[in-house]
Amino acid sequence: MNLNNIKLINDDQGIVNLIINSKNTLINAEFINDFKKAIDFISNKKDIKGIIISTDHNNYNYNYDLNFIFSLENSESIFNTITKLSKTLRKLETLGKPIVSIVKGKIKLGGLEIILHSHYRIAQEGSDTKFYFKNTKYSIIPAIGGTQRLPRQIGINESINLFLSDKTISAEEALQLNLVNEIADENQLVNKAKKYIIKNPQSLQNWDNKKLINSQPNPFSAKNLGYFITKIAALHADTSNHYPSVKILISSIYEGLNTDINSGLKIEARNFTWLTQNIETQSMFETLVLHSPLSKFKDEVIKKFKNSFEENYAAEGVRLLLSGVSAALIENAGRRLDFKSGPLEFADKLEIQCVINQLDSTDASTASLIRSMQKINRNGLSNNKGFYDYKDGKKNLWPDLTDLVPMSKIQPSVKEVEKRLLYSSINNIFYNYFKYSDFKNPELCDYMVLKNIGFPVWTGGAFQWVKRNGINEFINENDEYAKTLGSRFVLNEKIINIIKTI
Amino acid sequence: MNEALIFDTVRTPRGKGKKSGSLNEVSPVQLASKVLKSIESRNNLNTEDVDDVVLGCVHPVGEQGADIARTAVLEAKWDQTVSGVQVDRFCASGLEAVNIAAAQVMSGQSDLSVGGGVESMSRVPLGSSGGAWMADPKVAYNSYFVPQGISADLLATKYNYTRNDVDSYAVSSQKRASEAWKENKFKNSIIPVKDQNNLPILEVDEYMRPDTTMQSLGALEPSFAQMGNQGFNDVAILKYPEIEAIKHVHHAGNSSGIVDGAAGVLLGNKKMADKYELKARAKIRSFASIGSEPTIMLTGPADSAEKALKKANMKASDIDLFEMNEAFAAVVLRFMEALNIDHSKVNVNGGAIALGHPLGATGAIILGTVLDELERRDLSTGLITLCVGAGMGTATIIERI
Repeated sequence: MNLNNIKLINDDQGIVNLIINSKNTLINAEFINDFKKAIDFISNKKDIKGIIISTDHNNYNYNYDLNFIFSLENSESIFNTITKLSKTLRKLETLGKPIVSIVKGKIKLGGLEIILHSHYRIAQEGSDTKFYFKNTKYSIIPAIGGTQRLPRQIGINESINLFLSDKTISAEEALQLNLVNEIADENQLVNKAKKYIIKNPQSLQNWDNKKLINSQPNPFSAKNLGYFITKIAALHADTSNHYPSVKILISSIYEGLNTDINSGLKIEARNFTWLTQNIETQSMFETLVLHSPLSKFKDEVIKKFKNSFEENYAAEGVRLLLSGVSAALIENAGRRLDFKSGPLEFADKLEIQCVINQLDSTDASTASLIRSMQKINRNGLSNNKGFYDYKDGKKNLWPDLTDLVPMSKIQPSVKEVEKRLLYSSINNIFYNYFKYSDFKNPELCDYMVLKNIGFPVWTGGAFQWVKRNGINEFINENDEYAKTLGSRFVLNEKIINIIKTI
Repeated sequence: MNEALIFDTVRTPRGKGKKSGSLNEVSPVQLASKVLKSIESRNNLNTEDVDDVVLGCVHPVGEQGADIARTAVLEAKWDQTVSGVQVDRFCASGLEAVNIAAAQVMSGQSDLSVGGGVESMSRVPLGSSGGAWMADPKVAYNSYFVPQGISADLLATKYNYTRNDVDSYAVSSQKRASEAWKENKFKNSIIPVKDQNNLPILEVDEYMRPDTTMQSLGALEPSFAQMGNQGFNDVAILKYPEIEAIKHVHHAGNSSGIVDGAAGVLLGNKKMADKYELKARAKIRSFASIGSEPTIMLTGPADSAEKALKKANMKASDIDLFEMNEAFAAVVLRFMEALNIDHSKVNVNGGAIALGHPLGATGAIILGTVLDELERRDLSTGLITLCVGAGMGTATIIERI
């Protein structure tokens, strides 16, 4: 049988070689259909002894074609597409015949998911064989069994650590983790695979083996329960309420491992589908994947852009402080947005003098606060005193700050403070987009601000955020801000024209 | 509506909730059935007159599983017609059980019921029943779950209770409990735990440290600092962004003790009072449970007390004595501040900081404690309340007859 993506070759011992010879490395509609046809074909052959799956590429770097996934019209079609491949792999896994995967070169997430359904995995010896993980935080979760088979195979915390990392795993490390069962020389790969098939005529996954099913990882074992409780908090703290794929990843594992593999696969597909419809997932995908640029930007321009961005953020925090907002609320708002730190801490890091650079003549009170602090040597992190006191690697807000800047009795909600910091930062980016003509289009600018200047990644960039959260609302809210807060919230015609067309 | 009358209150002593604790060798079903047997004999009951036994238990798994209330009824050799039901409202389970038993009587569906609870924390440890609240990522994220100790420190931080404040409170709890024992104030309700040979196992609350001082407490490290640093402090601050940093003030000496114990309260209507010539010691005036913000978790007692007061058409100043479970010192400090009540009326014989908090039983225990004290002082009204996990509160108001 010959398909565009898959070749089937029978040998004289009754073993089928399934060779993935896809022209590209993307798991897309054609790939899924071919895979299904091949497995349906094999499953009707009663006389075969086993199947060896390999690729005639140098690498096993199959990945989802996210363009294809995101181009599907609705949740139902995404769920059905994913389920089709997932069911095909499940059918192969439960055929009652031994399935062996041979891997070499770069193995990416999609490839890893494909090999995890096989009963035995052999990696080619040598430093070229490497498993590449890519942090799910900025992307999407596995959808064809990865969140179900990997923890069942190597353990819950090991899987979560890998899925939330950019780690590269060598063949030896993969063997230690039980990700592969054997390492063999290039010439021995097929022989070893055949040997396994002949020795194990009836292969079963541990999660399908009634004798072993109780030794599968259970989220409510004493060890795993403690792990989940603290890991959830650590991840929640790390992501605030952004980066939904982190929550959905750990949820898929928790929910799926409380039941069997069949229900687990459905749970995973539903979670994946939900994630594809999430605004942050889509924003990050569009900027980081779809519009990933080919060329680099000039370091010098990025540096200037970054300085301006950070100083503006720090200055906005100081202005909020002067308007009576509590310092803790300002700092926490910045962290919740996933800025590297709160604006006042940024001011300290840059030296509080930096705030002055961002002020215009209407900001006399801000300038005066900075000068009063400088007079008493609170210049910032460099002398361990600024908006914070720094001591022994710890920091706390300067307790006397409230004497210098009284706090209002009625405080705004944290959402209001977040919005002000976000709007001010976006406006700063727009301003610099015009100032530096290096950015040919908004998409490139978005990519750059995520990668290089510390603008929160979940937004997908300034333009992307405005596009997805409502252009008219953005314009109107800026108008409101501009009435009381001054020129930095006045959008010029040029920018309005651009955002109206993004 | 019928009146729910309180005839009797019984409790075991509280044993240290660890393997070396005196009650560790006694299974929870034995603790509970000893309470039932004692209620039977003290009141000369024919147990076929009891309609239901409601027992609180927070970790109904393992040997506390499979409806320990019905199991205890059978083990106490009560009439087989007596049903049993186990309830869980976390730390207020014992009081909730009393409230349910009272509701059965008040609604006319029961003539005689027992409400109470049991927890052997040395045998079925804290956390044994797992739960989606903390382990299910979606649920834990959405509810901003943090462990109760973090909530207690968050409460102290938000309302500015210093280490000194909470330690002072703990010292007073120890003093009051020790004086109460010296004057044998618990004698009405307490029953010694004995073995099958009638040999004594435990006769007194053994968790107390009467020699506790500010200095001795000062030496204790905060219990929840390390836990907080694992991410829980940050989760708490996500929910309470006005707070810069959580101050960890609670430790083993100013938090409730982990202990084993069981308790029961016999409630019924006038018909049963007449039949058995039982003295109605008090009646249930009202009771209430509420939900509150789950991350700070422990502010519910004031809300539930106010709800119960409103139902009874009373004010806080109408209450003679309060029992507010000492889960953590800051919880009681906040309760007194919120209701503007003086410490001299609250937990006058000490509380769980000194005596321990056997989760499922405590509500029923402290109801007995306040009723005994009202009788001793010849006062009339008592309010019992507990803070509850996941942001709840339960309160009951009793009035002597």
